[in-house]
Amino acid sequence: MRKLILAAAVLALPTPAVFADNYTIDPEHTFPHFMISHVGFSTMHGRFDKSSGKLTLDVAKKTGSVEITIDATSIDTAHAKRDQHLKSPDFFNAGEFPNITFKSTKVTFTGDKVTALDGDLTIMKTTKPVTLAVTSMKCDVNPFNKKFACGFDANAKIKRSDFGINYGLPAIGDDVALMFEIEAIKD
Amino acid sequence: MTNILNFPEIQSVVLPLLAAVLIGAGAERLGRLNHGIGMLAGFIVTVLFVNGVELLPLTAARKIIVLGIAAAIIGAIADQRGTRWLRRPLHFVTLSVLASAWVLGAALLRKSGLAMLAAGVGIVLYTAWLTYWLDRVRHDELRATAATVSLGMGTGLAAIVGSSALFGQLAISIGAASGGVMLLALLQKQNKTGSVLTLPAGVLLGLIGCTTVAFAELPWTVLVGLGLIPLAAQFMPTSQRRSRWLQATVLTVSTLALAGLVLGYAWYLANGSSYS
Repeated sequence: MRKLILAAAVLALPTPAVFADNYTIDPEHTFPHFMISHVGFSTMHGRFDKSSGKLTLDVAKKTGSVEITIDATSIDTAHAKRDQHLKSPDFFNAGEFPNITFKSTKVTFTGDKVTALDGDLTIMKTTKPVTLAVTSMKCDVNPFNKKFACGFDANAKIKRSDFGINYGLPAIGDDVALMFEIEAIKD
Repeated sequence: MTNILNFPEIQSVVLPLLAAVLIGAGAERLGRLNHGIGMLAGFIVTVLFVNGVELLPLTAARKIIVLGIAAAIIGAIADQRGTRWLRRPLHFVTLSVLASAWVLGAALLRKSGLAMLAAGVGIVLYTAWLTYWLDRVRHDELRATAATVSLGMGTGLAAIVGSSALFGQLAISIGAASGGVMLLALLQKQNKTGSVLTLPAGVLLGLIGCTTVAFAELPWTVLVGLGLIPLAAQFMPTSQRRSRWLQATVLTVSTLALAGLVLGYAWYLANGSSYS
């Protein structure tokens, strides 16, 4: 009986992730942002308001995976007409291709921290390899909702022409900076 | 020079018009095919600017381009062989069903029941309507080109108001190239228009209009107005005793005026603004 109680007590203790943990993207705290040159005059910022996905992390084995699906129709640049144009076939063609996806192929750890995510970014049926540099990472219990969560800040640079988004080139920039704020809650 | 070629007006109006005149004149030996070849050449010039030569991944826009070229080939065969099978309304509807299903089928399947049915029927009817009525004027080069000039310009400018410059440029190029073909017809004083011109124009402009409604922000009611343009071109009275230049002017101005009214309506629905 004592052994049973002892075993139960050990299991109840908070422990580091010994096994792969599964997480679900928290859409309220996950936003892909982008920046692009507007005719060289200024840098325009925008974001996608809706995204979903899954993470797995095994810190002990230094392995993991990330899958994020971004709703292309949720693009938001704080200008309704511009958003319509960005959703049109000139840019993201969101009516025909409503989803943008990122699927990791390799998760790079430095110590206990993820520092890079290599993966495939698919926009409008075109898939290209992209490396997201992870600039910060934290896994802990969220003090507000008491749930265990992992969060990342990550960024990458892509050329939109690689994905067939050619409208307005070269006046509207080809280089696009992507920034991801990602939070995921442990299942 | 590179900067000038980047202007949409050059890509979609000036170069297609010039290409239609030059290629159409160069293809004079091909008889009735030369006007259609001229129009298609003008369209392809714009395709090269806005799309390049890539056809994969096969987006809706690229499928429309492929179907336009296929329609020109079918039209050329129909012209050369004088086949009557293409002329029945049911056949235009059948071709429109196949084309629409290929271009917009996936988008339609994402809609629910009645909305899917209504959109599907509307797309098929609009494309079939344009191809049928344009085919009715295929042997009258002035009425045919007046219709395709105005329908191309109307569809293209409406697409721009509806937030798609890509479809706008493609449609406008058909209008501009048709203008080149009309000029050629007036200069050559020969009637060489046929299905090789009207069938691809109908297929391209029908599908571009419907796809702009489906994937951009063009209200479907605008297509109802644009659909009247081929009818206006067919039934607008002109005197055969007048000069061909005057007839062409009357037909073009009257159909362009109708396109202008439709465009004004589209502009009104878009709250008087487009974005660039």
